[in-house]
Amino acid sequence: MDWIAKINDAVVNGRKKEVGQLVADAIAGGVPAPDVVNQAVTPAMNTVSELWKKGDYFVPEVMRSAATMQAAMDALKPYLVSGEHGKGVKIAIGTVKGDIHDIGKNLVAIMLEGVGYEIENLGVDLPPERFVDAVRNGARVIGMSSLLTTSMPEMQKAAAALNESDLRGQVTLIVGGAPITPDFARTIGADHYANDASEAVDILNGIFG
Amino acid sequence: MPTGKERMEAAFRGEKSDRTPVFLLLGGHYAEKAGYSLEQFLTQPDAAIEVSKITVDELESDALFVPLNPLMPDAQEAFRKLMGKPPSIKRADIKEKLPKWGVRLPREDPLFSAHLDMCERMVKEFPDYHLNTMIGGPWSFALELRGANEAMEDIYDDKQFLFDLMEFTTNTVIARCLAAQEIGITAFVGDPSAGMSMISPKVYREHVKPFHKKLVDAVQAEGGHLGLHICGYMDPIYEDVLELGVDGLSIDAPSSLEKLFEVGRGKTVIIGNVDPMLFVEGSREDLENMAQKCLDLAAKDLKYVIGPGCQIPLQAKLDNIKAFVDYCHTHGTL
Repeated sequence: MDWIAKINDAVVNGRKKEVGQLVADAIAGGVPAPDVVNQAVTPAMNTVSELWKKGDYFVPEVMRSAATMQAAMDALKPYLVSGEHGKGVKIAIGTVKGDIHDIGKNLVAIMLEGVGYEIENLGVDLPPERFVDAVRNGARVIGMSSLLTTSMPEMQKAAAALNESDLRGQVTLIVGGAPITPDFARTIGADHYANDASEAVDILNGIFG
Repeated sequence: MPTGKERMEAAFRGEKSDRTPVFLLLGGHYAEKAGYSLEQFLTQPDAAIEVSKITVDELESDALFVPLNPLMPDAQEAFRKLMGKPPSIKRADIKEKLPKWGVRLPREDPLFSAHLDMCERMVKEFPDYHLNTMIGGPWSFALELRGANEAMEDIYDDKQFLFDLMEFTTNTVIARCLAAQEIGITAFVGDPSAGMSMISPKVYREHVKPFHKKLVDAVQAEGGHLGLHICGYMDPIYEDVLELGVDGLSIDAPSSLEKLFEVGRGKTVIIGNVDPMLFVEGSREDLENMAQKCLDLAAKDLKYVIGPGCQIPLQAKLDNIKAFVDYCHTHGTL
């Protein structure tokens, strides 16, 4: 039984209710847990990312696959040793103060987790110091999201807090959200701008491998 | 010279006026110039009227949006802060509560009732302008109540609940649109979460389109016009939205104006779609070039209204807004 192919297929097609059992069966069948992650789950999310870029998948499909991936990872957790898989890079991501929108930010978080990053999802409506604290707590990448033009000044403040801290040299700042533009990202001193979750994955994979 | 109201009504009828109307989605941009804070503009009727007066004087507008609108994000945030309410209307218990909810009549909602009072004042103060109010669309309203992340799961796991929720939100939106229409205000439904930046064509057709159709039919059955705005990218559902029979369709910058003219010329009033961020980051020349590009695509179409793709950010330079409007007035002759 090709468990790897079945789990990969379940994640790509969003069969969330089945994937837990498939993972259990794979483990029982002798497939090492890291192999399930590295040969089924991560490649599946890469496929989802490609389908999104091509315009075949949209946010609902990507989110469903991401939720399926999370269900698979939940089933795998008891069998995974910390550090055995993944890139060993911690990313903290959140929506800036005055903004409670989180779907885009959550999608970025899930996609990045799917390809092996450790994610700290800081939530929404975050004051600038929360992002700085996240770096103190080990984040090497900070992701900031804003969906409202009215919260863009808050992103500017949060970026300023990070830029002015003594931690700036050890962190990569990536920003995104509907009103955010590459020009704005440059103006506030961000290292990168991502138009969507897929682009965020590509950019960070380009840095961290 | 025609009034702004006459220009917009000519566009709805597909009749010629002197120039292409200009349709701006503005908020409290001229509050400071009028001597008020943004919060005063967002929450105080007299301040909102005075700011609107300065706005039309500065820009010789054709159309205005009625201020003090609790359904617009900036006003919603201001009112909720004033009232000490949390910023979100999400209900964790919505599946349990929904069956017991009846549609809240517009005048039973104190904030929306105050907005209807504002609509009445605006009709008296600005008779020569095409007056609109932005009403939040049923899908975005549903996602606010349910939670966007949860709704994405419901698409797969509980479709019936989503249909029931949309039935509730659509009936609420219809009631609000008809209440505004009764006063002489055109309902402009903004359903930002219904765009392809948020959902897929499949989800739109299954979960949103039937309810948008119900909304359009309800407003038109009472003799009104309905404008629809969906933020973000809309190209894959252009034909679906045109099938609704909306009177006006406002598209955002990520959508293609060229493609909409290809599939929709003459079928609706096309509105848009200059990038709102150009008003913040761009130069006068950038805006004039973009305005000319839109006018060229329209090719003097009588059912075209030029404007930004979405609300102009508050950070926009007032000189940029003025430059854009002046260019459109001069170069948009029909």
